[in-house]
Amino acid sequence: MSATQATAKKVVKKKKKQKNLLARMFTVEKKPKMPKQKLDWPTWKRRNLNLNGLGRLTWIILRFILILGISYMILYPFVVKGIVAFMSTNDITDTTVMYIPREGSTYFIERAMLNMNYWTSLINTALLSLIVAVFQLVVACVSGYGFARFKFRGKNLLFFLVLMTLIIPAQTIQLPLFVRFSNFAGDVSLINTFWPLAILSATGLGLKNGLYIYLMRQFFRGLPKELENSAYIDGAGPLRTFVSIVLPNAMNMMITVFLFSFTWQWTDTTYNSMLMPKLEILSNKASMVAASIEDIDQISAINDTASLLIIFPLLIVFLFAQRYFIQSIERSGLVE
Amino acid sequence: MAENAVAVKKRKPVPKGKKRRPPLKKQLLSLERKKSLYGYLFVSPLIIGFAFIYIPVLVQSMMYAFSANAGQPGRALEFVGWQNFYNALFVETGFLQTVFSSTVALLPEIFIIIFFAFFMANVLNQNFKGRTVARVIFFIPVVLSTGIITYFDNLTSLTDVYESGSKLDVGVDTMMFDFTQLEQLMLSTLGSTQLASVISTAINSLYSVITSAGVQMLVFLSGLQSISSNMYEAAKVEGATGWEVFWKISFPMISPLILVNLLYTVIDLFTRIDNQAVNFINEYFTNVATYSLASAFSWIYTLVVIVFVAVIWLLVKKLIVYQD
Repeated sequence: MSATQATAKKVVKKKKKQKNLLARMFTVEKKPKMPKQKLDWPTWKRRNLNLNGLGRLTWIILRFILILGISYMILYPFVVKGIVAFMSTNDITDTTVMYIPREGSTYFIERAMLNMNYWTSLINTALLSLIVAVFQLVVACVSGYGFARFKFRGKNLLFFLVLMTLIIPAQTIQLPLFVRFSNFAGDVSLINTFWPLAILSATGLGLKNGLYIYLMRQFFRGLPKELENSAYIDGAGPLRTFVSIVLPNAMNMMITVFLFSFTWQWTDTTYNSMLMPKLEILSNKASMVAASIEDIDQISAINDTASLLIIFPLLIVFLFAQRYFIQSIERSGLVE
Repeated sequence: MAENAVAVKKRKPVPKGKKRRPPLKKQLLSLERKKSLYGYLFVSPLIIGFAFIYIPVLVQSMMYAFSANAGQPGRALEFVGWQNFYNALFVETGFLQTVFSSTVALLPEIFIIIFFAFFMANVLNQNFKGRTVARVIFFIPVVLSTGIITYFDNLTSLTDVYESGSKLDVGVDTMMFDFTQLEQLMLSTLGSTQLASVISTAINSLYSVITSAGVQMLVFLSGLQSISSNMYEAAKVEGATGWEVFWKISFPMISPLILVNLLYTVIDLFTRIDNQAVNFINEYFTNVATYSLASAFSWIYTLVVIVFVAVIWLLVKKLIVYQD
């Protein structure tokens, strides 16, 4: 027992050393291992073979079936797409081929990559998504905190407008937006550059930005006020309190918002066709991927391959990021 | 107590040459004002965006709705008053019907999605082996079934229609399952057509629920995880059952997020690309000749959504517990 306490103390000491926000973000806390108790059959029987325990066992089995079934439903289409991507043109028309390609080729992958100008589009898309996500995250945090913790005149009206940006369909404002950006500040045309989206997301008008603001606001409202009050008493101003007390506690939500913003911008089509139709980004190129193909089987195969190619980098980002936004992140300062 | 102390101080004669401290109330006011200034500072990006981009754009769009010739290059806007709105409501009869039918169809879906998301978030918050893997899989649709991917899937199901008797693996309904076999199996075992079709549509719609409940699940889960473990420990010490812990701790702590999720679900379902009404409006937007009419359509539709959101807001507001 004393040994575990000692390790726990060590962990606490280690935690205090990591003042750097980024360092804290990328370390996963290891819990001190408790010695496992040996479970022999009589104890197991006593614990589980009563009414309570049987209920729990049924729930465990039900949960297992539920999770397995839903996972299957989610993964199945991706697996099928993955298989189709590696088929040859003959495999696709062959009715005896179901899941395992007989010949197999990378024809569709190569074709889709060529038609989309894959690597250039990929880099452009990544850059655009990164810019947009960073701007949207900053705006969402800052204004979400403003809405959650300050009283000022016109706050409700402003918040109503934020909700309106979500509610009003994008098509309604597409043409006026185009007009506005094609002669921006005099007659500078920003069409076919990153600027329109950067400006929109830096002013809280980007894709689903209202949602991010709303999420952050709700999160900040749910945070206990004691921390901020103690910071105020210690003499920190609102800005300093926000940066050094509130933001570290919101890391969980911030990573979630960033991930949403990044991935949704990646696959978004709402603003692209209007504001930057000629830019080489994946979602623009995707609709043209089957342009030169006539065979209907091949069209659907190449579409599947293209959508898989677009998703793939996101999947990798997601697999890395999920660790930080799904796992609980230590709430330093809040929990003793 | 505090007021008394101030009152006592006031009675004392102020020594000459020393300035009296300003009364407490005035100090508080100035702090309040300072805080409100900081409030403006924090939301300043939004203010700039609304003032210089969003509101002018909205006004422009309104003008389109109130005039003819919108969106036609080389032709000036011609103010026609409520003509477009009149046409939208009374001449183009398809519009109101579409809006009404799609709204009614979405109502049950909203609550199913919220319930499913809440349930699954609680399941995924439990401790079991393979939890991380399950979480990763469950959140894949959030990331991957949006935007261009939905477009592709719609394309595939379109080509499907032309291609009858096709194989499973050629991108045919790669997103949806082929439930015909299942339906036939149920038909033979259950012997009743209606029951079988009810079950198979339920399974079919389960897939769409799963794909559109991802965000809500994530929001609930991160809310559940931000509840301090001290609370659970305290409840355990006091002898609370799991049921009580859920209703007295998890539910109230997560309640602000229920409103978020409800609003998100409503807005998402009403404005997504495959919504019937949105599709209807979009068709009018693609044609230059009907652009003004389409603007009127979309403003009416916006109004419908706002009313809907407001009603839900008012209904659910009372359930919420804030930490204020």
